[in-house]
Amino acid sequence: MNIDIRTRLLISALFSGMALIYQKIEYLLIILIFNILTLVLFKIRIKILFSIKKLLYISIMMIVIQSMFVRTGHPLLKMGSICLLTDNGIIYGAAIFLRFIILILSGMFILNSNISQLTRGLVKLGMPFEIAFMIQMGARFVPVFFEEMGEILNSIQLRGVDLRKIYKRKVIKVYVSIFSPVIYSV
Amino acid sequence: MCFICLDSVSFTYEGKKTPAVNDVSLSFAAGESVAIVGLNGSGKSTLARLMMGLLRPQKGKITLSDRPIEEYSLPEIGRKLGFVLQNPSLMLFSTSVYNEVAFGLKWKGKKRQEVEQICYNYLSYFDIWDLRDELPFNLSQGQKQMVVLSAILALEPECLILDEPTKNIDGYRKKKLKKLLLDIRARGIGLVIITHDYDFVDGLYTRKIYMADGKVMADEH
Repeated sequence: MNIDIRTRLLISALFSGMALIYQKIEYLLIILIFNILTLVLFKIRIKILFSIKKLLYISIMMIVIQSMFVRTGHPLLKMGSICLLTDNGIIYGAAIFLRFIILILSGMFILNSNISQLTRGLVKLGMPFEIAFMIQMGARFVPVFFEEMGEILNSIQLRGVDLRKIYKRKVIKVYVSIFSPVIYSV
Repeated sequence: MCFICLDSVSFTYEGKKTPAVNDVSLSFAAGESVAIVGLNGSGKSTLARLMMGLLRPQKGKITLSDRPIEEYSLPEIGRKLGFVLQNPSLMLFSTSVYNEVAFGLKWKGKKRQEVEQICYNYLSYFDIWDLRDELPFNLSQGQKQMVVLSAILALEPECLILDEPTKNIDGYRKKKLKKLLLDIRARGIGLVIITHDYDFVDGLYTRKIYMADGKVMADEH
């Protein structure tokens, strides 16, 4: 559906803003449902929802971290004196997870539009052209950057280096060593 | 025995209607020298990427040493097959020409002196030893091609897949590369050369495959 970029920006800002303002899980759920419905209405593909399995791991991590640091609520799982799971931790963790999803889905309104349209929209909304152009240039290089990074990681692995099996310290060393050439080539 | 086998392999890029590789069945024996030729967009490079496990076929099956390619990790494939991309810039990641060639050798566990000797052998063979401290990105496309070739050849894989290896290099180095590939072939290392350069591959292959529209049109032994 061909929608004016300003409308897209406005809707994106609205959903993201609401996700940050509201704390309660039931409100966040309603916002998420409306967010998905709007995306479906605008015929925007939401592939990210199909990779929700990966996000579930993040959500479990968030729940555990919240449970460990939020001291309120009834402990459900304890290891010695450390609470691994509390009812409030689950609620807070779930809320952060929902907020995370809403923010990603809000970004889909803009990500699915043409970058040149985005620049024009930002200028029409009053942003100086120089800054809008800088955003455009930056956004244009993001996919190129990831493509180059993917190719270089493939090249490294095809030279016999198994990044999954080497020590984390060495993995970081490999990433650090390739980061500047990638930036340079992009 | 079949070293690399492709059985009714098809692959279509996302957003494209026609397949880049369409129902291709091929088998490459260990140590075989093959030239894959065809016009631009005939699916040669896609076929190479499928053989290297960089792309997964949507239809059909690829096996490497009788094992499905999906069961291999990229490093395992890299230890068996050496691959040089059409665009050498996409294969460079080190901060110097020397480190680029030495990278794979160090990870292979070679000793320092051995690494130095191998690097010297390949870089001096292609007359780029003087450039050993240069940043690879500052080199010309032809020099980059030489660096990538040196880095891959130094690892001595069981089979080499070269995608347009002569695309950017001059006549003098082309002759040297051909001589080196003849030597490699004599050592029993397999060669799969994807090219438009018929003069270059002349005498290098024992089998020629002609591709058009993603299909194998001719397979001459």
